[in-house]
Amino acid sequence: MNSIPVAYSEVEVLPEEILKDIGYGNTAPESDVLDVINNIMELLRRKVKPRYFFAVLEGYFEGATISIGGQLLETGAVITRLLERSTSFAVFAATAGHEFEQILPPNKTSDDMLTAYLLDIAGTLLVEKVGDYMEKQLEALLPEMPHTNRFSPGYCGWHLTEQRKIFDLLGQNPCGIGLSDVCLMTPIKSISGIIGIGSNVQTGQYACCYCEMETCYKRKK
Amino acid sequence: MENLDQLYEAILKGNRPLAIETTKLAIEQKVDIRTIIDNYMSKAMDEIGHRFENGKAFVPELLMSARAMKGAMELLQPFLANSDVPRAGTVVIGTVKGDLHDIGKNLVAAMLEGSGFEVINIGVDIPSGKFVSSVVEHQANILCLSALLTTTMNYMKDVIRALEEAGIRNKVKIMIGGAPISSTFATEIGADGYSSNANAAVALARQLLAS
Ligand code: B12
Repeated sequence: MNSIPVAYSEVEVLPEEILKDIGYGNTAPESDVLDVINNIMELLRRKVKPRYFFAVLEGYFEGATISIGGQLLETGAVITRLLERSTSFAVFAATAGHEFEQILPPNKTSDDMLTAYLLDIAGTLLVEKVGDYMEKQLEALLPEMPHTNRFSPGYCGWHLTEQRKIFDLLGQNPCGIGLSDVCLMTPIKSISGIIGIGSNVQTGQYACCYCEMETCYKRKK
Repeated sequence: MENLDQLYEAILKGNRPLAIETTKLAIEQKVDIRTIIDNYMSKAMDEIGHRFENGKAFVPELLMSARAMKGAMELLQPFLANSDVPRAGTVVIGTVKGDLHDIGKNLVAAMLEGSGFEVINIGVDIPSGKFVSSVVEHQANILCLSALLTTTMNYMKDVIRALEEAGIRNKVKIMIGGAPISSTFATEIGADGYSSNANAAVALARQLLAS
């Protein structure tokens, strides 16, 4: 299987990151919240096995589409523009892993909701950190070679169903991730997409100024 | 009973053991059930909701208050059956077919429960037939549908159609929500309301049942 394990210590989620994500700025949470977070930290350290995989493939632009490894990706106007001047692409998938799903409280009644909610946030932060770690590995593989941000199907006019093409390029079930007929990945805490690579690409740009998705959490980041 | 202020504080602070203890005391002292609920418990939930809307409290506080409220309500349940306290209503909630997203829906469920609704949470990946049969079985006043992807949100239309075909569309209010949903989409598919978060969902549910 196309899958590279990541030591949890490389991508560890920190309590302050969870608190920040929830919105606590100047206000401190009740001590119960901190207790639950500390328990979660311990559980994550012991159980989770995050993974990622990427393949660096040649690609070229055909109008608004990008041809990579025999797949024609319709990335949409916004993302295509941000990928401009890329000469190759890292096609990727990353996940918090199946082990993460197994630590979720089994029956999510309202009594477990605080734990379930905090774990959910931790899982999101974790998979994003795996994505960041993966980018570092890409940089190590191609030193001195600039790359763009990560772009995913489902964002900025790149249709969700295009994920099938990503999965075709990565081989069946990369990192053990399944893709359903409605293009939902399992485990839920998984991401997929591409990164543009080339000596003249725009690095670090996100498309907020072009994108209309007001509710998007990547906005302004 | 002077300790009732403590009940308000316990729910506001999300202190479940204290909320339960104080409620027990109130029951022993035969305080009017309606007074307990309306003047103390619901008031505390309103206040925490208010703080949430103003960025002074966050989801964890909402959840803890809802949990404390639920614990206290469970003690009052036996007395409610023969009382004149109006029931909040019965809600069936689930995530539509194809979609496995759980957390947003469960937050809505927890908040509705904490606000006195009877909530039947039927889970994720639910086909339209199951929504229809659950509404019938539990005589639900409200059906809540959740979806997190643009590829699954359209299934909400199928659910509404199935309710129409079963002849029960006008017996139940339909609330929808989830990341890609908007009030425009709700109107478009003939749902009765949309809300963007679990706290607002409670207000919406109350408003729909009042109308
Ligand atoms: C965190 C997040 C992730 C995380 C975790 C995902 C998860 N579900 O656990 C990660 C990073 C893994 C992720 C991955 C992806 N994501 Co994502 N993600 C989000 C984000 C930022 C928040 C979702 C969330 O968990 N919110 C927290 C919970 C508590 O909120 P909620 O579920 O929305 O529920 C609240 C309300 O919606 C409401 N509500 C919910 N249900 C109901 C029901 C009723 C009746 C009512 C009244 C209210 C209500 O109340 C709830 C509580 O307040 C949203 C954008 C956003 N701002 O919402 C995108 C979003 C859902 N993701 C999106 C996409 C595209 C993806 C990916 C496909 C990207 C990719 N190719 O990698 C993958 C898919 C993952 C998969 N498994 O298939 C898109 C989906 C749109 C679309 N095109 O379909 C969104 C909308 C982002 C965007 N483009 O703006 N994602």
